[in-house]
Amino acid sequence: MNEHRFQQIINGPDIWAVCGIAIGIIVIQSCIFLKNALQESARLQISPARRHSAVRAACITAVGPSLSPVIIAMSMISIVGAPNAWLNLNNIGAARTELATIAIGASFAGVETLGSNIGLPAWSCALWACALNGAGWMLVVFFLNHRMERISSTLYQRYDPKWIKVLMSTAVTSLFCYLLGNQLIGQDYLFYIAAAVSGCCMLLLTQLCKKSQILQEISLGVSMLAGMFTAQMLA
Amino acid sequence: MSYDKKVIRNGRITMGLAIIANFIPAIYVGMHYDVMPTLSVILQIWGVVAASYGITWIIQPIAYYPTMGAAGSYIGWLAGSCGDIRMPAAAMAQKVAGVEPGTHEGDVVGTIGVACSVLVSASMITIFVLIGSWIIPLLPESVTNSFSYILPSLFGAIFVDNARKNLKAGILTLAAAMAILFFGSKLGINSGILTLLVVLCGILISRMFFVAARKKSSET
Repeated sequence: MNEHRFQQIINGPDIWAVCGIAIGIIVIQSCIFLKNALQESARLQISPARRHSAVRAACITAVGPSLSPVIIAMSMISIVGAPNAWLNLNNIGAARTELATIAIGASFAGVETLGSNIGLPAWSCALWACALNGAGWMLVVFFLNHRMERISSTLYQRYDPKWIKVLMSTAVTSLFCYLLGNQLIGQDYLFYIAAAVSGCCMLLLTQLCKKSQILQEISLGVSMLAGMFTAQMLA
Repeated sequence: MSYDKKVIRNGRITMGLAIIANFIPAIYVGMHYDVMPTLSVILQIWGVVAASYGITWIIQPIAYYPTMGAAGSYIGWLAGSCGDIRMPAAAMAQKVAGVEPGTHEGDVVGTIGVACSVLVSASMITIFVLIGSWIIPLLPESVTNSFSYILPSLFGAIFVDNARKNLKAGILTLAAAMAILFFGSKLGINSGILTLLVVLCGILISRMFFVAARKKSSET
């Protein structure tokens, strides 16, 4: 299938419609909870002025971090299409992990290098991987959230909270070691350069610009661009 | 009906519907374009994804619960970005409204903050996805060619960002991962098993450093 046709399919109006269903539910859920919480806050005699300032502060706080995955969004749009990028960025799973999940899915159809024409079988596997990943969190919350009060205190009493924190971050770091290794083994030196430049850039930005909130938020995107363009220039 | 009961009821209904809606694109694409993966492939994909994120699926909602509360958890684990958008929005809302986190008032105001943040981020994401899908076809070829280096660049940066908290353990895990992948692919071992091996190896390495650091601090 040529790239033009593939891009047409993954950006088709039918795909926008099927992705829109889940986003509709996300927005409706927030509206329902907002209504419930506003009613309850009136009952608790929290003044309308305080409620309004809470709403304003939350909205302003959400603007900056909502913009940070913009570069990853661009890559995601070219790989899985705009409608699925729209869905993946709006639901559970950070933009960075969604791209990793897409890579895992596509590898089941034999596609190791993601680009703008991965083909329908790899696209389908990638969508399954994203759906299964998102469902993991949702199912845990669906089944356990109403019992969470008890579970949460038991977890922290029984195990060392420090180790739990280390365990969670280790599982994620190890996964990225696997994914990085998978991109490098058997590839030419340009892939190593892309990874090394991007990694160094990330280290510089996070270490040297600790105080700048904006730089922290865009550090991943900027590092990726540095890695991608350096490799492309040397190609 | 009390507020808490209402939260649980609405949360479970919307979460249940969202779980179903989450699979609709994958099912539609598979059936409509005749590219549905076989059940065994779907299970294998699940296996790899679960090996990678399974611990996070369970531990994260539990660990965040004391801060997010019941309503915040339903919203946060559906709309995502708990740490970078939802919690800061809840904290700011509580601060300006002058309520204490951890109290009933704090919980209610926090929920207002989380819900508003979803409405803001959903609108913004929608706008930039629409702009993005319009811009991408206009990009020059040299830019679209550089997209083949997206993944090594992404994973390189994230690896460094995660590993810098414990650089020695991170580098050791990366070296182990490269060795496992190199020999694993020569021996033709399934990628799911390789992922699991790398994650287990990483946990083992990190446990060694954790125990060593604990011993050292108890000695001093």
